[in-house]
Amino acid sequence: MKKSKGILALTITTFICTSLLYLVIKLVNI
Amino acid sequence: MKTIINGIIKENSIFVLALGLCSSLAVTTTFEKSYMMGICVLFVLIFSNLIVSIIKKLIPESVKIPVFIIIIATFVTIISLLLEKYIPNLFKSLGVYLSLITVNCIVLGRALQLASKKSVSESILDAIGIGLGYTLALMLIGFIREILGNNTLTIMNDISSLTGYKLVFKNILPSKIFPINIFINPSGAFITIGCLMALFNSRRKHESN
Repeated sequence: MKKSKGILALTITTFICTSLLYLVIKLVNI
Repeated sequence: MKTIINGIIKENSIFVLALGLCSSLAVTTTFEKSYMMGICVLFVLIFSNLIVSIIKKLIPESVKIPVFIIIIATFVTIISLLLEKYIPNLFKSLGVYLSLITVNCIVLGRALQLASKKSVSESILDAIGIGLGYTLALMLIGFIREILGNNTLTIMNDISSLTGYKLVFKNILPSKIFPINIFINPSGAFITIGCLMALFNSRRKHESN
């Protein structure tokens, strides 16, 4: 249970951070 | 306000806590590089502390460090991409030290020690204080090293692609003695930081007495 919660937290953080990066790249036209 | 002043003086990351010395030794060869590095660290500190303090309750203890590193690395990547696009000269001269902000003890330490325990406003104020303290310390070191080691003061050179202005003072000190090349070398950085650290701490002790 604890292990899956950790993996879930990591996955969600990675997804949010990647989306944020994608947004910045699109906005700034890099 | 007290938290900000505390971060600048009492808990100054370079002169008191002696954290993040690697980048401060490497990038303080010119005044411009020093303050730009400080601004980058300030940006990363504020945003990473903000996100960490918002999501602190959702992260299990066992994955705290990997999650924090992902968050910090995201903001470091954002600032690297922005610098690469708008100030490419500065991006080249800061080089690997820009990416190394990710593993800077100040940023990770603050996220682990403070932002994951305190409220959003408190952790942002702390990030501003610590970031300003780091920036001011780098500016002081860069100012001394560039003047003594190069006999110049670069305020705007690499960032002229963004601002449109160039501001470089040359031959500030008598050219018979200066520049003293050792101050541009890493050994000169150690000497400068050591002297400033001693001065800063003696002044701090004097005031606390």
